[in-house]
Amino acid sequence: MKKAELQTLVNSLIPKFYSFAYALVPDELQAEQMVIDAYAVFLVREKKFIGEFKYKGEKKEKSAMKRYIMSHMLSELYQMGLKRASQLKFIREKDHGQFNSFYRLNTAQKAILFLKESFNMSVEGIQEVLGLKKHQVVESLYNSRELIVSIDEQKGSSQYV
Amino acid sequence: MFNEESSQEPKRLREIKEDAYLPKGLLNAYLDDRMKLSEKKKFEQKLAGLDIVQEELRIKTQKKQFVSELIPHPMISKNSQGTLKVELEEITDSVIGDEKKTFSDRLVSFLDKTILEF
Repeated sequence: MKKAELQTLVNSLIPKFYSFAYALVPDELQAEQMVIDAYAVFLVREKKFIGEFKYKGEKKEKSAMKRYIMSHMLSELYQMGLKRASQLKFIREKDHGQFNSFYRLNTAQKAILFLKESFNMSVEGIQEVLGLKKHQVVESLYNSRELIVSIDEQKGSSQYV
Repeated sequence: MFNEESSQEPKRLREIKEDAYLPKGLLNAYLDDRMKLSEKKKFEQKLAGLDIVQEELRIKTQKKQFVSELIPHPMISKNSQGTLKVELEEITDSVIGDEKKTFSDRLVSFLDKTILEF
């Protein structure tokens, strides 16, 4: 695969990388930095495969490659989010308005909930990104949903009955 | 060896069960919009006659909407997108490097070098 072709694919995915990074670390600069670092790690790791991938520009190949890049990048971002969550505790404790309950969740819970609800990813897709087993994803998804509602209820702003 | 009647039974039972109620998996698939159009129509037809399931679906939809309102959907600013585009291009350049040079490019590069550099 040529450099220009890779760059075009990557450019089209930047908004998704950024929004996932921002969901994990709600700070513009930190989220940008996380995307940059994750891309560097991804590219160094997958350089050989990308170089050898025979890309003729067909729709099927394009979507397969897009899925591949997306899945690996989200995975790298998640790993970085896990490591940086403790260093960036002050961001977590800031006031995030209506999203306060979301940012009180731990990194794994935030990632699972965001991928499912915002990216509408399947359980299998989330498994791939987070490297978890199916039952772990399903369990965590259920717990995160319950937890986010209960945190919100504790704040006294819940409208859900 | 192979009993045709007993192999048919689970399928028949399944059909009876499917007529009587809708599995939770189907409800979730409907909610997540993971159904094909034909499946969706079939599901809605079945749903019309099942009051309890309709109520369950209403509660699930309400909860899903509520949870969705609590989850941020961050959008990237034009400024950030521009910065990231430039930064990622630089990483691609530095990691992947120059692509294969043509024979003439390699010849020019060879001839440009002094014997000491070579």
